[in-house]
Amino acid sequence: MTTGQRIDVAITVFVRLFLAGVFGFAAFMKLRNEDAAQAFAESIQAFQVLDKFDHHHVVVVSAFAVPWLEAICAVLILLGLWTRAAAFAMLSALGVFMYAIYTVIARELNVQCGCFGDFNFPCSDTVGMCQMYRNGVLAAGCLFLVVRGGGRASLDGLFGPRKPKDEDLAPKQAAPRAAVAAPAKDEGSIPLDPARPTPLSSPPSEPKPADTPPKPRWD
Amino acid sequence: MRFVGRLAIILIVAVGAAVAHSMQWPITRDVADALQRRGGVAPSEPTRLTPEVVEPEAGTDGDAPEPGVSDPASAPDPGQGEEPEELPDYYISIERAYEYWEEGMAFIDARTDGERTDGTVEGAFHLETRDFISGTSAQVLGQIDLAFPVIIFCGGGDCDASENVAQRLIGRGYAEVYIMHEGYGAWQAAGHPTEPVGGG
Repeated sequence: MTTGQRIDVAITVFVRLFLAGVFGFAAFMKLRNEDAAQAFAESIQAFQVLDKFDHHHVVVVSAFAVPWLEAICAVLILLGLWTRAAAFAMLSALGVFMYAIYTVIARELNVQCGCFGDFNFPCSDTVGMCQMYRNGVLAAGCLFLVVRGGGRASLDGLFGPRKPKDEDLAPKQAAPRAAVAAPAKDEGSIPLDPARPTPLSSPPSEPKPADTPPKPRWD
Repeated sequence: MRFVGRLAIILIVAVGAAVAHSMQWPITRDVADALQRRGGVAPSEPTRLTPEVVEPEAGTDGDAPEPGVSDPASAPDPGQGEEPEELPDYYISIERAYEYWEEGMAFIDARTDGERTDGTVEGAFHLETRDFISGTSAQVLGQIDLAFPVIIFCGGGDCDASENVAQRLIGRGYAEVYIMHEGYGAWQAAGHPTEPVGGG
C-alpha cells in the first residue's frame, strides 16, 4: 500500500468515525428516555412546518424515525457496511433539517433545536445560523462518503466486489487468443496449450512454470 | 439498483422501529391531550388555540376555578372592539395567579437561564424541559405536593415552555396544573412580588 493509499484510508476512517459518533450521540440523546422523545416531538412542532392537530401522527413518527435513522446509519457507517446508502440517507435527512432551519430563520421564530437533546455544543439551543453551519459540515462528510464509499478498511471493502488485478485479467485476455490460435496447430506452427494461457507479450518459447503459486493479496 | 434497495431497507427499518417505539412511549400533543390521556377532567371544547370566536361567559364570583372549568377572569373584556379569543381551561389570568400566590401555591418558572435576567416571581421554582430529560427535575418536584395547584409561567406570547412543562407535570400525576399565559412580563408590570434570579 502506497503512502497515498494510507492517507486515503486514514481520511475515510476519520470521516466515518466522526459521523458515526455524532449521529450515534444525537440518536442516544433523543431516545435516552421518554421525556427526551417528548422534547424532540415538541421541537418538531415548534418548527411550525407540521400542524400539531392535523399532522400529529406525522410528528410522532418523525420524532422516533429521525433518531432511529441516525442510530442505524451511525452503526452502518461505523462498520463501513452499506456506507454509500447510509451516508446518502443521512445526507437527505440533513438536507431536510437545513431547509427547516432556513424557514425558522426566515420566519424569525424562536425554536429550541433539540438536535442533541439537552446537550448543546457548539451551538446554543436556539435555532440559528450556527446549526446551519454545523449541519453543513456533517453534510459535507456524508457527501464525501457517498462519493468515495467506506474505503478499504470497511466491511464494504472486505466483502464487496474487489477491483480486478492484472493477474486476474491475464487469463481473460489470453483465452480468446488461445481459441483463435487453436486452428494454427493444424498449420504446423508452435503448439499452444489451451489449459495454460500465455500472455501476449511473452515469447512462446519461454512459458511460465505451471506450478508457480499465485501472489498473495495483502491489501 | 442495489444502492436503492439498501436505501429502502434502511428507511423501512427506521420507520418500523419508530412506529414500534412510539407505541411504547406515547407522545402528547399538548396539555389538553395530556389531560385526556391521564383520564382526568377533559377540557371544554374547543381547546384549539386558534382565533376562533366564542361568546365570553358572563359574571364572576371570585372562587378559585376548578380544573376543567373556564376561568372568567382570563376572558377579555367584551365591548373593546376586538373579538375575544377562546382560552383553554388551564389558562389563568395574572390576578387569579396572584390569588394562588397569596395562598402559597407553587409557581414554576419554565424560562431558560438566559430569559430570567430580569428576575422571577418571588418564591418560584425553576424547571425547564431539559431538567426532565436529565432527571434533575426530581429535586424540584420533590418539594411540590401532587394534590396542590401548580402555576407555570414563561415569557408569555408565543412561548411554549410552560405548556411543555405542564404536560410533564400532568403525566407525573399533578392534579391541578395552571398556566399563567400572560407571562412573567405581565406579572412584573402588574407590580406583583418578584425577586432576582437565584433566590427561588
